[in-house]
Amino acid sequence: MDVDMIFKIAAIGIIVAVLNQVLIRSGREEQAMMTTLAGLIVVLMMLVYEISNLFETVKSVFGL
Amino acid sequence: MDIYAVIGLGVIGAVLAVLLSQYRAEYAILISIAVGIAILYSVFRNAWQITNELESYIALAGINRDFIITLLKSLGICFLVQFASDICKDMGQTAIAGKVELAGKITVLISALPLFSELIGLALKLVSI
Repeated sequence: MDVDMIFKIAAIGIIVAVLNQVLIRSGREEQAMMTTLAGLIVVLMMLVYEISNLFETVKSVFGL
Repeated sequence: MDIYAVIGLGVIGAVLAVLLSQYRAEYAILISIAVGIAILYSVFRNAWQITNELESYIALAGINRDFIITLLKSLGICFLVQFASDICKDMGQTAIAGKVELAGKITVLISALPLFSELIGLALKLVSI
């Protein structure tokens, strides 16, 4: 479980926020919303992979 | 990961979550989930020593082994349900958190049913003497 995943998620969040502002200021609200959705999906995919790792560990430890 | 790393991780994660909650609120929740996963993963990775030690003591004491299996199973279920319901509460979804906890309670109850029947059998045997 690498710790830098948390900083990756923080970086994605900041980048998406900045991109969102830039796109909204330049009048492209739809692209801004698309960027936010894309960022969210990327982070969720990473998280789902880590959650499955956690569940496998808990299953192996507690014999679920 | 020793305790100092966990403490540092928790504080940094909280700061990052607050930082991001002003711009994109959903990333604050994702960061808290990621920190939770990191800490729980590091804790459970070396938790197998506890369960092995517990099982050896139980075997030493000659108690039936499937008691400890049910105990560990319900412990694992409680950890995961607590993890999920805390995340839901963080997001303000207390209704979903309550549902998750209810499901966890029922699952633990179902997994402990054989213990109840054995207990009743034991009690009846004692009473009938």
